Amino acid sequence: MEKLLLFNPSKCTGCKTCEMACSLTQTGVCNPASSRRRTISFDEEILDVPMQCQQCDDPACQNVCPADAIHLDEQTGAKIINNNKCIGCKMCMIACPFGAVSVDPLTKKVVKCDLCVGDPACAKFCPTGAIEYLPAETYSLMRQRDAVKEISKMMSAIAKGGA
Amino acid sequence: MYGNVGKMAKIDLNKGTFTVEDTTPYLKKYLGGRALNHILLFRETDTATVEPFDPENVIVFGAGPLGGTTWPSSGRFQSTFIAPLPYSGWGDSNVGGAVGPQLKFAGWDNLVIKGKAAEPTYLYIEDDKIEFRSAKDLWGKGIDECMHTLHTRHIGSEVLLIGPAGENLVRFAMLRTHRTSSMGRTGGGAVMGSKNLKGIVIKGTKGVKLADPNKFFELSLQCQRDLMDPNFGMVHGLCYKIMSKYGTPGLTRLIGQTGMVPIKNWNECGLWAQDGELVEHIGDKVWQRNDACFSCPVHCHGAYRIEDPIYGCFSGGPEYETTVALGHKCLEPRSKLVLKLNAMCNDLGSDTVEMGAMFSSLMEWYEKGIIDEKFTDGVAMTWGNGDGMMTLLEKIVRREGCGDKLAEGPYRVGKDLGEEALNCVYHQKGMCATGVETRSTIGSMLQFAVSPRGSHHLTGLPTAEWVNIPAISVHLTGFAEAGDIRSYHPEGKAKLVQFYENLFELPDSLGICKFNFGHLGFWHDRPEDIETMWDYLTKAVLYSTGVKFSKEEMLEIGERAYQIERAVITMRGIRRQDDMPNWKCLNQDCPGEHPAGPNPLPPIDREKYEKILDKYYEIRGWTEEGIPTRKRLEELGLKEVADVMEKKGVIPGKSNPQK
Repeated sequence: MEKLLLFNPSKCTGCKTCEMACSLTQTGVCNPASSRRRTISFDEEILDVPMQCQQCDDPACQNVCPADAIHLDEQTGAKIINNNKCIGCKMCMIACPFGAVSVDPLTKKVVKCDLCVGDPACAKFCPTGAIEYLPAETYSLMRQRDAVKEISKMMSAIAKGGA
Repeated sequence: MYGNVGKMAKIDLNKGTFTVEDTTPYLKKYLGGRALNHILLFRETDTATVEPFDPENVIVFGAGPLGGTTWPSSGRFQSTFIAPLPYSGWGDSNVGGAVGPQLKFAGWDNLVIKGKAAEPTYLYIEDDKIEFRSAKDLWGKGIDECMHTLHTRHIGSEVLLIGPAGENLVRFAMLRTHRTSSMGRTGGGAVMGSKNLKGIVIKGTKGVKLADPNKFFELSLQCQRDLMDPNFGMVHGLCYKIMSKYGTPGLTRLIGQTGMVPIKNWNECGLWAQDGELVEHIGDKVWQRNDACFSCPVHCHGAYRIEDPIYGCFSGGPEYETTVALGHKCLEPRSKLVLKLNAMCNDLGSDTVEMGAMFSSLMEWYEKGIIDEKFTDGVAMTWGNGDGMMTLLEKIVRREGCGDKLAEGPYRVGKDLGEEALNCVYHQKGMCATGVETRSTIGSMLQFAVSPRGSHHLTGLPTAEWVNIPAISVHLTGFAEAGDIRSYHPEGKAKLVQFYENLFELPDSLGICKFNFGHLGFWHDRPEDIETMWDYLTKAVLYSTGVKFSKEEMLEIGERAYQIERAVITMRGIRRQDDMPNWKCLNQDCPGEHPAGPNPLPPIDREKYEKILDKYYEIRGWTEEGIPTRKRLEELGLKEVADVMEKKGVIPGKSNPQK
């Protein structure tokens, strides 16, 4: 089954190790500005959200690309930019609803997540499990299990006469 | 350049200009961060005579060759300066968060800041660009609001700021980044304030290059997993388990086992029956979530929001140091008071440790009748008066009313009040202790007493004594007694303390967290675990910088940095008498409940202590007055330091033949 790279903000502590792991793997340099994924902090809300390419089934980046430079990697499901074809128009950056396409400040090339050829470094390094690379089915089962844990706590509180 | 990024900026606030210098030549001798900061401070100002608030005082910032990478907890950032709080004048303080990494991403290893800006200013650093921006709109405002303004103005930036306490030259003012990460100790915030410098805002896009990216990646991943492994060892696993859930407050009852937790201004110690709201409760019930510093798997602090008409607040922390300083030492058991006071210190820019010691000293003076409520503008400083603390805190950070004198800190206020008052102040070299009762553990007593910046565990708390596993003490010193908390074994204790002092310089010089490397029981279950840690550190530095350092070379860098600290404070007049334990330690016993060690803890045995001190000086290569010798300094490649000391008449030589 195809694996998906998914994130869970409620597990994120804002350490940004994912940005380091990503940029180191992709460019050999630790640099958040080169990272293909960013973790966005909302201080007031006490929330950090790991933001990344969702590898959409109907990808706005690919659809808008005038040079046909973005293609699907059949094995991983990643949408990949072919730098030989890319004309650098940045239309993909504008079209992406997640801001997941960026310009690497060192190479000046348009870049995005390619799922590290099926072994994403961010998921490997995430110490809290806020980023995971799993089959869709496993992921939803895990989320359901987490949710049920909360519900069962409520149920047992009710059973004990509290609420 | 690999690991380090290769440049430092020397910033002149008088002129609003800066120059750029190469950091490459310093790697082999100083690594970076703390050790490099120290020699830069030494060279850039007259450390023997400069006063903390002189424009000629220099504040040096530095990251380190592992900073800003995948290495676990590589977010640390070091400051070094001549300090207003300890009378030794030595100022250094370290912070987590992500500001150090951001400086490296912008292409800078160190900032050397001198002079005084004509008006409130902040530095805006964006890659090669360093701008002097007006901070007039921020001056007088709390750090929370300023941080919000600056993060909005400079999207994607990291900031390090002072609050009103720093602006008003409170001697224990701090610098803060993120929700709660602070350069808390020795008063760096006030040095910034004296320079009209509100803070530093940094945004970088250049990144950190590594000599062997692939090996570094694999090694840092392995190290992260080892750090988080509960089965790595009992002490190691316990530290991770507690820290990652409850933060440092979760350690309180572990630390209290030997009587090490101070209660009631160091008049009692150990386990406090009323600590129920100050230990696990905070992690369990108060924190909305755990926060992590940059690249750290431990996430040892938390964020909280409290809705309450009086005690409502939004902040991060508190640390063990804060709950003990404002709770245990002041007999204030209510978490909402401690959390509110912590939030106020965070926002207004004060060190929580010295603020707590100021309050607990006032409470002891009040109880003894040394002061009455007139001294504190009508606030009766009875034990546990958390509301009174809130009132005084506001006055202190703005130096209003009695706050003007209290902003000088407990040592100076005590000195003014007279001998009886000063005897109540639990300080070394003018700075009050962190949350450690040093009568509990003889090695920690030595370490706190000799610490250049004054009473503080992060200068080299001998962790092996704390975990007290004899095999580790034997491995490190050759003596099992070194790990016996009650032993006065001169060689064992002296060797153990100097080992940890040298070791503790390294995380600060590499840009990583001391809690994970050296301190707190990580890598302290078996003697070979210490070697595992060394293996990690030496390999990490090799893969990061491309330069091979042996464990011995790294420890020598630690010693080099430590000797610079000692050289500076001896030039400023520090001698053997200043390395003696404080009055309470020498003259008073300390009652308290704790399973290990006697109740009450007896005073420190002066005669036996001096024997350890003699041995410690001998190992350090110092005279019997505690002054570094030319011989030892030259062995460490610090001839320039010896030359200045000679010129100042502190060590003998041609220009100073009598001494």
